[in-house]
Order: sequence, then structure tokens, then C-alpha cells
Amino acid sequence: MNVHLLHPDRDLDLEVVLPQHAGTVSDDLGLEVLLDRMAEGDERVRTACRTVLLAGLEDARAVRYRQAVVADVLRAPEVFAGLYEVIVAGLELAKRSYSGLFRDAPDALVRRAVERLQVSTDVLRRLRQDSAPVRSDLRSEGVTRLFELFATQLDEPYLREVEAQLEELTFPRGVLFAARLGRGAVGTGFELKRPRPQGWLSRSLDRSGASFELADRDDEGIESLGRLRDQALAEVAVVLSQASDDIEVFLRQLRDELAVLTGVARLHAALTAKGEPTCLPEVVSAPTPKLTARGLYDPALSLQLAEQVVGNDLDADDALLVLITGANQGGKSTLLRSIGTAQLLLQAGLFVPAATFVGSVGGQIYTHFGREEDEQLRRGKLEEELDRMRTIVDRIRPGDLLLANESFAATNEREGSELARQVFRAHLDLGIRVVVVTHLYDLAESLYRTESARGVFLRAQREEDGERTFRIEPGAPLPTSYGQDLYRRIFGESPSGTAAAEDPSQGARRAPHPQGGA
Amino acid sequence: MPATTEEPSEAVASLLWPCVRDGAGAQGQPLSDEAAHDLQLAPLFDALSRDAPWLRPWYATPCTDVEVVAYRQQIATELEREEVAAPLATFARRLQRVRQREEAVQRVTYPYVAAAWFLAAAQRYLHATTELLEELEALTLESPGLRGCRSALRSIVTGDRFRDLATATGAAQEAMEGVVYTVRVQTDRVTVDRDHGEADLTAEVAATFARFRTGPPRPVDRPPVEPGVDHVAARILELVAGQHPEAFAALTELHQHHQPLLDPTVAALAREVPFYLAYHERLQRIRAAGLPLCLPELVDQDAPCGAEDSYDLAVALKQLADGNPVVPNDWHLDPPERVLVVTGANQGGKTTFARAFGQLHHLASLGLPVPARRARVGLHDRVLTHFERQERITTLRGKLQDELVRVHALLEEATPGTVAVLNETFSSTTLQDARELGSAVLQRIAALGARAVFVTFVDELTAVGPATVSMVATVAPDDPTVRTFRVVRRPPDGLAHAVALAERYGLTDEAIRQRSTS
Repeated sequence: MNVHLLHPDRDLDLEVVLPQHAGTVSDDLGLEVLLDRMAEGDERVRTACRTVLLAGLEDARAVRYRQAVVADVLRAPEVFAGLYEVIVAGLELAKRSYSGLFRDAPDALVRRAVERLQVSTDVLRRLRQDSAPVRSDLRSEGVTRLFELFATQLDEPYLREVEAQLEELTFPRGVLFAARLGRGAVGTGFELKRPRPQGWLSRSLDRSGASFELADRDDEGIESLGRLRDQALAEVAVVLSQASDDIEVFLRQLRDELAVLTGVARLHAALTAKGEPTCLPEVVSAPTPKLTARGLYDPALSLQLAEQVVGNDLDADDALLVLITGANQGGKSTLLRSIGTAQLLLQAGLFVPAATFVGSVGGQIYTHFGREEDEQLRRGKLEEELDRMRTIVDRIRPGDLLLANESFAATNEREGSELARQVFRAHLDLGIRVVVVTHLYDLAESLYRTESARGVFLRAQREEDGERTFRIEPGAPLPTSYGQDLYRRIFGESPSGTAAAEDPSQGARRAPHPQGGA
Repeated sequence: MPATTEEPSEAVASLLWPCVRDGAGAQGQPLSDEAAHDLQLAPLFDALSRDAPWLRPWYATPCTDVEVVAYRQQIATELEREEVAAPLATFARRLQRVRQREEAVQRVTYPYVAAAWFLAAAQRYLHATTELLEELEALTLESPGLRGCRSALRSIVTGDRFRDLATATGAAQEAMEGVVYTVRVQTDRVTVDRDHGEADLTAEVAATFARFRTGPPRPVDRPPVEPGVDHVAARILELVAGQHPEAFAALTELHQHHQPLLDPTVAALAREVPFYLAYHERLQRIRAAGLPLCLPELVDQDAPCGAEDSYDLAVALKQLADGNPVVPNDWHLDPPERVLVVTGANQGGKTTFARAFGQLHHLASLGLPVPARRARVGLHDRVLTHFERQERITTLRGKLQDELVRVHALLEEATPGTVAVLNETFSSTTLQDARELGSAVLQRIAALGARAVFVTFVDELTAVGPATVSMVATVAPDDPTVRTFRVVRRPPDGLAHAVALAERYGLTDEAIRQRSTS
């Protein structure tokens, strides 16, 4: 019996080794905020969700399989949450019958395995019973197959038979075994037998048997009988321990996969409650990356704010480069994070934070976020940035995605621009998708000139009065940032009293590229 | 390839004695415990005979007959071949277990259990013996000893007694294998019966839970079967026997009519094999370190004798274990020389040299390899030792008296065929006493014609007469404080060593004077 809720052909592996950069990606995208909401204090849910988010699926087929399961879960979230609770409680109960001892006598092993199996049997029955009412409403391959399994493999007659056998294994009629004579006429080849159903009475009347009883306080004899029992039970003890382990392995697997789905349902509920849109993205298989979104937002940001956040539209199909420039605090980083998070969620087979989203499955996602505010550590920070970038370059492969946020802003514009230019051009030439947020005009301007064929250029907008809208629209880079806006707002006047520069990119264009990819 | 030119098949074969079973007339006086301790052979022999106590007297007793020693040397040579040694080692180990079993059987009071263990021992014995013969038949053997043993083994294995035993053992084993019984254990009641074909409960349980199995079944770790028998097991066996009379009749027949189990020649062979193999095994580290071992050339007692690269086996084993080098030495005695008188640096290897001399003679007389590159020795009839004792005799007078008593006893016991090792004899008395008493003792030894090594601090004793040879424990020529552990044949250093040391520490007469006048 396999769970296979999250993968068409295998179980979810929580032991999977996440890429080394996963922690950085998680920090840079603010995934902990999402995980907090998914976990609601349940560490198991957090861990499972974190793994699923950071270990993306391999292809569109796997993504669609999981999307269908997620859709089913969102149809009846209370059923899945209920199954999860039942299993968690059952496994907790079964754990009490574990022994702290490494090795145990078969007699004790059998007793504990039977106790564990009795608990597991109750859980299995609940799985079947609780899934039955919604079975016909659900459509995904993963859920349908699993619930079908519950109905056919955990049917009542089977569970009754299991319970009868467990009762037999408490040996109300004594332990009966066959044996042969081994070396030195010591019993060997022990085979545990099921006593005849008519009970010991008829058997004891059988004249071929011969009995004796131990004398009172024959401790040595009692020990000897214990050894015999242990020999007789050795094999069934292993079979039972294995059976209880097997079932618990199945239950733990199911629990872990349900933990993910429970977390996903919770996140969905939280976003929906705020009125934020979500959708299961349309996944396109194409030779060039696809990225078209409406109302794309950063869910981590949204969950931290009382109000709804501003979504952005994005048309970046076939673009290897997405370059975002514009006003400080104008939502550039937020858009970058939105793109990264959406891509991560898409590749995890989950819903994305957008009203509509068409995308494709890419490779690994890398983040390189500079922190320009750290002026005092400028020199060391550049080296640290370069070091991080070298680590990325060592690992990144064609088809991967690099999210660069103010990279190399730790040095002067000329130097930073040149460093970044070299790095990003090389990435693009390798077929690596790069989304760049930068205020380095030198960099932005040169990329705008040379990479228009494979790039999309966006700019954080401001209203005529200088108010930021947090909307980011297509637009060429501008030679100045909007620091003076901030200055003005905070100081109540512009620096040096000059008016804001005129915007030369009115009517900004989407970078032209060959039609139909020709 | 069975040889056709071997000894008559009835030959009584021994690996220790070519003709006579007990070696009467060919043995010298066993090494006393005191001498074995002085020569540091006691720990070696203890280790060799730890699991085979009967070896101890064999290792202690020198052979005085060149023919016997040569007979053993040929066997020892042949056992250097791994393909010869391996089957004999296996055989000896197996027979050892058979003997232990046989002894255990004697102590068993339950007749069926005793018979069953007898059966097990018989199977081991038959298998070990037959297999040894098969392996020996496949070898080309040179030594009369091993050829004789093979021949004897052949006639035993093909003899009626052995074949009858094999037949009866086979019959008993087959009968026992056919016995299947059942036992039902209730609280304090045991019922024994024939197998009535009750269902295999373990198989039923395994089938029930098979649907949860995803990997291979877990191996069953059975509790070890206790070889001991208690009254419950014995009682069960009695009941089983009562229900399977024919099978147990075959077993009883074997036990009652085939005692003693072991052919005396086979038993003796198994005891003699470790004499060579235990020693060979023990010296593995010596060989691995590249230290020489050889079988000495045997000459008359009054012929020239000597050794190249001779060393103290006990010290070598310890030095190698500690990772230290072993320094070998040469010596020779050309008549009329009989006594090596060793002087020289303290802690310079004098005692070690003396022990090596005694060890070499004793081990040579056993027919075993000796610690030297080449050696030529005459056999001796006894090894006598006199080492300084650490008794609590506090007065010089008492100590000297004790020494004299012991030296006197040694001289009383000494024969022309004696090898004597005297270490630091009279070293704690005055120089004059030591010179006079030592001289007297040396002359007595010389007069006897016994071979000896005499370690002393008295230079004059090196030139007592034509029988004495001076050997000196040396120090490094350029640094008199560095001991080389080389003992060389040359006149004593006299005070040279002391002068060198004094110069080094600026304590010469001249140096002290210069200092005091400056």
C-alpha cells in the first residue's frame, strides 16, 4: 500500500537533501511567514511544507498531478485535516507500546506488537470510514486512488480478520508449536501453530498427547518454559514487529503527506480570508520560459499587512531577463519576491498568489540579495557578495532561475555595474533566467541597450505628485532613482530645491523580441 | 595421489616420536619452572598451551636424540606450507571440540540428551577425520612424520570400526531428523504430542499483513539455543522419545555400542598438531617483522657451535609489540671454548644475550625453529640457570650465601651435556669475592665441558682459561652514553667506557682541575 498523494509514482521523501542554497532562498523570499501560517504551531507541518516548497517537482506532469490533489483538498479541507488528526493521535498512542530496550525477548515483542497493531487497526478503520462520504466528490488521481485503497484494502471483513488474529496472538489457549530435533536433541525449527478451534479440551482428550505439570515454585522450570516460548515466538515476533512497523510506516507517510496538504489548505484559507486571489497556475511545457501573471503579489507581505496588497501584471513569456528599476520603496523587491515565490509554489505543485498565472517548470531557484543599507561594512560586504555569487555560479545550471536584488550595490556604481553586467550576461548566455532588481543606472541602461531581444524591462511607477503606487509597469530605466521623493516626503522639501527629473520613459515599451520565437 | 611406498598401514603414527610412542630414552630433563622463568620461555609456553595444557610438558622437555629432533624438524619444515598446515589446524580445532563435547556428555544425566550429544560429537569426529584424510591425500608430503600419519589415518578411516561408526551415526541422524513433535505450553502445563497438522500461525499472520509490506522481509533474529539441558527440556524429550520409539532406538544403539568415540591414534594426532602450529602461529609477528628464524644444524656436543643473528624471542615479541627494533647478535664456540663470558655496558643487552643463548638451545632440542638466522648446536640434556634473585635477603652475607647455595646445586646437577646460563652471578658481592668465586665456578664448568654463558661485571673472568671467550656489550663509538645492544666478541673494555662518560660530562680528572683552578 502506497500513499503517493504528492507524487504520481513515489512517496514524499522528507529526508531528501535540500539544495545547499535552500536556506538562503527561504530567507530571501520570506518563506517563514508562509510556513508559520501553514504550521499553526505544528512543527511537523512546518517541516513537511518547507521541504515541499524548497524541493521543487521535476516536470509539468508531476506538477499537474499534485495540483489536482491540492484542488481536491481545497474542496473538502476538513476531511483531510480530520484524517491527519486521526493518524497523529493513533501514532502517538502506538508509541507508548514501544520499548526503550534495544533487544527484547520475543514474548515481550509479540505483546507490544499486538498492542500497536490494535491501535493501528482502529486508525485504519477510521481512514476508511472518514474518507467514504466525500469519495465520490473528489476527482484527482492521487486522492481517488488512495480512497479507493481504503475502501478495498481496509474493508470491514479484513479488519475483523486482523482483529481475530491479534486476539489469537494473546494465546488464550497457550502457545502451541511444532519442532524438530536439532544437534544434541535440542529443539529446532520451531513453528508456531494455531491450536484447533474446538479448544484445548478436545485436544487434551486426544490420547496421543502426553502432559506434565511443573511442580510448585519450580523457578528453573518456569524459566525453561519461558525460553521455549521465546524460541516458538521468535519468528512471529519478527513478523508482527515488521507488520506493525509496516503499517506505521504507511501511516507516518500518510501523515506527512497530509501534513503538507493541511498546511496548504491553511495557507489558502488565510489568503482567501483576506480577499487575496489565488489560482492553480497553468503550466506550459515550452522550450523557452513562460511567465504571464495578473494580480501577482507577495503572499508573505500580504500576510503581514492588515490590508490587501497591490498586485502586478506581468508579461514576460520567453524572456530570459526581467529587469526591474524605478522608485525606491516602489515595490521592486516585492515584485521580485512575488515572482520567486510564485515560481517556487508553481514548481511545488501548489496554488500561486495571483489571479491568473501561466508559467513553466524550470530548474533550481537561486537568490542573490544585496543589502545596501549596510554602509559601514561596505568593503567586506562586497567580498561577501562576490563570494556568495561565486558559490551560486559554481552550482547554477542552464534552465535555473536567478533572482538578483541590488546585487553589487555594495560598491560604487561603476564597479558594481561592471561586475553585475559580466555576471548577468554570462548567465543569460548560458540560458539561465535572471530577474534583476537594481538601482545601478549604468547596469540597467546597458542591459536595456544590449539585451532588449531577450529581456523585459519594468519600472516602479510614481504618480505625478511623487506618490508611489506600488504598481510596476513596463518602462526603460531612468538615470535617477526616486530618493528625492522620499527625501521630500520626509523633509517636506526636495533636496537642493530642484524639481524632480522628468520621466523620459513615458510610453515605456516592452522590449521587442522576434515574433513567435523565430 | 596416494603414495604406494609408504610405511605399513598399521604403523602407529606420532608427530613427536619417530618410532617409540612415549619417547622413552630420547628425552632430557624438563626445563624447571625457575629456568623457564629465567629464560622468559615460561610466558611463551603458557600462551602456547593456554587452550591445550597437554602441550606444556612437551615444550618443557628437551630431546636428546638427534634422530627425534631431525624427525620433528622435517615436520616443522613441511608445516611451513600453508596448504599442509591449514587442514591440520582445522582438524585439531574440530577434534578439540569433539573432546570437549565428549567430556560434556559424561556429565549429562539425561540418557537421551547424552546420546544426542554423543551423536553430534560422532558427526563432528567423522567429518573432521574424513576431511583431513581427503586433504592430505591431495598433497605431496616429504616428511616421514606426516607421511606416516597420513598412512595411519588411511587405515583407520577405511577400517571396520570407523565404517561401523559412520553407518550407525548416519542411521541415528536420519532417524532423529524424521522426528517432528508439538509442544503446547500453558502457564505451568506442558503437553507433548505428534504433529497433527495444525495451521502455521506465523504464515497466517504474515499473509494477513502482506499488503502493507513494501520491502523485503526482515531477517529473523532467533534467540540462541542454549546447549545446556534442564529438567523440562529433558522431560519433553522423554515424552517425544516415547512417541517416536524407533527413532530413539537408533540413537541409543549408537551411544551404547560405539564407545569410546575416538580412535586413539586420531586423538593423539589431534593433540600433537598444535605443538607445531601453535608455535608457528605465535611467531607470526616475528616473521612479519622480517626477523630470522631457522632450524638449526645439529652437531655433537663437543663440536664447534654458534649462531648468527640470534636474539631473545621474548624480548623480540615485546619490542615488536612496542614498535621498537630488535638487535640480534652472533656468537660461536670453537673447542676448547665452552663458555661465553659477557661484560660491558649496564643495560647494554647482556641479559638478553644470555637468555637468547639458552632459548636457542632449548628450542633447538624441541625440533622447532629457533630465533636466529643460522645456528649450529649440539643437543643438551638439561638447561640450568642462575639469575640474580630479588629475595628479601638484606645482608650481603645472606645474599652471597643464597647465591652460593644455588650455584652449588647447579654445579652438582650439571653434566657434560648441560647448557648453563649464569646471569650477574655474585654481582652484589665485593669485587674480590666476585672474582675469586666466579673464577672457581667457571673452572668447574670448563672442567665438566658444559656449555655456558656467564654474565659478569668482572673483566678478569673473561680470561680464566682456554674455555672462556670474552663478549662485550658495546656502546656507540662516538657517544658512550648510547647503548647499541650489540654484544661482540672482543676483549673487555676495561675502564674505557667510564672514561668516555666522564669526558662527556666534564668530570675527568683534568677537567675538574682546570675548572677548580680557573
